[in-house]
Amino acid sequence: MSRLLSLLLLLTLGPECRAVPVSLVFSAQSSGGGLGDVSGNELPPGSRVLAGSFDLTPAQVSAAATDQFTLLAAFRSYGSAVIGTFNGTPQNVSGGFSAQVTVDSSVAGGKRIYLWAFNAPSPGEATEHILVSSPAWVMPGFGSLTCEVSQVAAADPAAVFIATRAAGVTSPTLGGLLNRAVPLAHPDESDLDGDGVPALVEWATGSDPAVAGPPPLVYQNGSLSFPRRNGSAGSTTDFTTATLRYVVQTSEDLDDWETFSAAVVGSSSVAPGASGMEVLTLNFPAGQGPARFWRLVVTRR
Amino acid sequence: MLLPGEPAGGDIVSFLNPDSSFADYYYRSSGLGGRGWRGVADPFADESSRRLPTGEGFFLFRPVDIYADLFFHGEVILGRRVAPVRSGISMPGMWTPKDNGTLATAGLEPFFLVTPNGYNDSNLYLEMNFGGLYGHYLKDATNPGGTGWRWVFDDFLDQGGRTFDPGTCWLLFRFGEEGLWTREQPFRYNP
Repeated sequence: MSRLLSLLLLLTLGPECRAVPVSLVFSAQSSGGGLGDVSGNELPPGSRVLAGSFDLTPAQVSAAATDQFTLLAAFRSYGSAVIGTFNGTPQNVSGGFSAQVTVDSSVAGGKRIYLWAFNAPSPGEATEHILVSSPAWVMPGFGSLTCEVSQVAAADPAAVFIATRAAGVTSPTLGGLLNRAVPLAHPDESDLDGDGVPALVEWATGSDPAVAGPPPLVYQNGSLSFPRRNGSAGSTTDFTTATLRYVVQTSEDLDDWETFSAAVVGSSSVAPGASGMEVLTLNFPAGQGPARFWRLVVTRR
Repeated sequence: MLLPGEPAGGDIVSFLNPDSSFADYYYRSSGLGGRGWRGVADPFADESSRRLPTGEGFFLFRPVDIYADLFFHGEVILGRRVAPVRSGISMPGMWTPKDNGTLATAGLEPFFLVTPNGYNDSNLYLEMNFGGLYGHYLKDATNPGGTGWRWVFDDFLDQGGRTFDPGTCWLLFRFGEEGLWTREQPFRYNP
């Protein structure tokens, strides 16, 4: 390794931590590991399962049991799989899956691993979820780790078990009790407070999905502004943060929408009443016709 | 007699991959995917023809507390992933078996390459009581973080006081050129 490269690594990476590949096998393929929905049916093929760690303690994860916003914002995914597929091969069964990924131990070593299943192909479409972790699921610095849902003892205080098991409700595919999902308090696309703003947009703009409030996109004094979670500026059409993408769209007829391109002309570090937020202000172009509508689209990255 | 079953309850046989990760296998007794040897990541694919290369070792992990006599030929490493056969490990060139101690007092330094970079040195993997094998290496002053024993993913935290105990697993890897240590025979038992 040349001195130049060594200097470059020191400047960019700091400590020279070395990467060691570790195999992470995660699955629901054993009796008692079956995954189901709230109603007691097995999750259908194509439902998403994530394996990763949280920047939260197990107690904090359990406390946020139905709050996917808090959980997803603190989640680091190491691998993904779908129900019905085993090691990359679809087997057309429900309630079970298996997958294997190679993880860099310098990133994941020592981290507590969680398995997170949703009743939809992506977290953003989900209305229910299952989140489990055994205290033994600590990513080693070498070798392999196997995380099988049936290993999680629901009664273990050191385990994280955001699911339910009920006597008599079993998994036809795997046998044993079915691990049933719990409903998310505010699914991304829901609007339980009835204010016309989807829950994901409410969370992304710092308002409470459970309390009706005004729309977040404001036109005032020749400019558009909206609150977002602190993050990088993105492009002039894509105001991204670490986990969210904010796009402003415009239309003359509420039918055809196009992306509004504008540079950020101002920002305040904290929006009123919300920590970790900033208000972006965009130039409003003059002479755009007799009428124009605007909307804010928020998607997960 | 190996214990058949499912990954969560059966014996796991682990072969070392060339990249030093493990490939884990078990004997599936019934249910999803049928009966026979399987990889833990695939209950359907038949792995009964998987062959252990000559000179290679394997790990055995029994996830449940069931007593059994297991007989093996060849070199066996102590540890929870391995059937314990005899306590005490003799390092090559040393007469006294190492039953316990710390990294700083074990006298391992002569057997290690001092670290020129992350891909050409010796790593000692110790089994931690919270599960898994964690790599350590002997750091020189080339990069920030001081000198001495370190975790492979933390160049700054002194691990000289790290203990290794009978019944836990040791494994030594030497990356890069073949040297005093070879991967196939990291340790030898005191005869």
